[in-house]
Amino acid sequence: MIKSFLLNTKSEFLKLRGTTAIWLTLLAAAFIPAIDCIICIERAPDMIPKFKTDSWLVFFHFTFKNTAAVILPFFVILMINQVLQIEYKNFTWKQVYATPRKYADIFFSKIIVIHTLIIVFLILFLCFTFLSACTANLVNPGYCFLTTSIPYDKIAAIVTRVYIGILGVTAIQYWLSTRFRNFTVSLGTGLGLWAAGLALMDWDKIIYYPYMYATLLFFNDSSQNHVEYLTLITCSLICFPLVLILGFWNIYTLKEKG
Amino acid sequence: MESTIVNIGGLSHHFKDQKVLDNISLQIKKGSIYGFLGPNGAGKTTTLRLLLGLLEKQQGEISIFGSGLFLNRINILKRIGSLIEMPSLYAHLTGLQNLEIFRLSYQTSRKRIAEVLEIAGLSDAGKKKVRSYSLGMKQRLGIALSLLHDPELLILDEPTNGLDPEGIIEIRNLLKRLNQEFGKTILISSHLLNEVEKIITDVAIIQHGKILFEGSFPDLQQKMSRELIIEIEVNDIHQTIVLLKDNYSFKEKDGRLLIGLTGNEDIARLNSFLVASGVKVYKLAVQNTNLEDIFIQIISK
Repeated sequence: MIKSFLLNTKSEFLKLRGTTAIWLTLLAAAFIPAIDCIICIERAPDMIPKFKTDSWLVFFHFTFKNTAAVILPFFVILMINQVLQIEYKNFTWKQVYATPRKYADIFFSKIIVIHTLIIVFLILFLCFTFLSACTANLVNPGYCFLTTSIPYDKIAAIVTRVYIGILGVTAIQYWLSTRFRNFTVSLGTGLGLWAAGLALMDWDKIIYYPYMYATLLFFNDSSQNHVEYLTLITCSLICFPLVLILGFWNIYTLKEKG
Repeated sequence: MESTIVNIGGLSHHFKDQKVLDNISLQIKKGSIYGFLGPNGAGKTTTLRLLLGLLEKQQGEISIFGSGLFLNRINILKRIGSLIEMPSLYAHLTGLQNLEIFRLSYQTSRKRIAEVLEIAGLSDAGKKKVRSYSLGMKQRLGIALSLLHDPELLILDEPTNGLDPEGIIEIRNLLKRLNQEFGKTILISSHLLNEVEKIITDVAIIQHGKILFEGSFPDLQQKMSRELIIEIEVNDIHQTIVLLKDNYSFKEKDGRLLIGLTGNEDIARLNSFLVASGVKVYKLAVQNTNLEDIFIQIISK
């Protein structure tokens, strides 16, 4: 059973070759670091003082702030849509369901693919961020990125928090994208819910709104508001499996598959 | 005695208020090429989707290889290759990559890819992107894909749909080869009857969700020899339709009527009736009956 799941997951990865999901991962990861690199080069006199102390951590916050709040949710919503549209666009769902695969195998192998792409996105983003800082430093020796060490543990902690924060969105978007053939339904709903979250940021119940978890967890570590931090982590870790199981149950009980 | 590998009994299905299958029963024997014929919307694809578990069964029994589909889905699907409606292929990938994806799902050896490409006559096209394939090539790749795990039963839904005459002949020859050389049992649906009559051994005809005929192809031919198709041309086709509608089975085709009769006495009686009713009969001819005529005759009843 495990062998079958692994082979089918491998086949799901093969479907990604040359698709927009791959390009999207690369471009979304590079976007903010590239922009910030240009800013650091063009506005060096303003920027150099900002990175005098804790250079890497401050620069990382500078790039990751916009990525965690805007680029990552956008990327997740679009990428999940793209991954599922591979089946819809090619009318291949029926062939997938006519192969000797368990329904759980079909459902969960794609979520592995999706989370691999998110992790690749985060790794690429970190690489581009380091590259961006080094490039700015090479162009303008006033920066001190090349002479200070990178606080890997602190950066890893922030990235992990944001990854946990995006889990709920991945489950909701995956369910929507699997359930509805029309890509505008999942895309529109996802972007709408994310935009609504931004409008509701001051609401005291926002900690129960999964589309804002990545943003909230970026700005909130356990040292600031421990109770809220724990609530966010707990809600996100509950939301992900709960929505996935509900989504699987929904797909499993569909009277028409493919 | 030939064993039955697909047994459908009392199968009914409806979408909302519309009944699409009405108590149909079919038996498909091992080694046969079973033609499942009927006009568009008759219920063919619904039946095939039910056989593959793509639709949840509402009423009736489906047994494949001696066991129920719901209880034994995975093991049954391991022994079935399918092509439903149109080839399901990833257009952005090559033929080889498409086969590799499904090879992993079927867990067959890598060398099987070259074998099925050869069987489907696509050995030279494997490295091309599927989006550059002709429809005929896509259909053949779809069949190659369905053969990956060397299944005993092939379920093919309108595999010649949209093909030019050359493409139709290619698919027909391929299916014949699969049946005769590789011993595959083939269930093939079509609304283009002249395309399958040369290869099928058994046949079922479905119309409005009901099976109108099921039996061996020789049985159908025997029925054909007993029944005549008469083509008539008259001065007023509408009046003629009104006159015939209660007592004859017929079909209007290109301004003429095709009428099913059972002997020469019937022909004379029909002619007398029309003339006595004031209809001028310009032409009355016995048609060379083929499966298509019988099909028209059966579905007109």
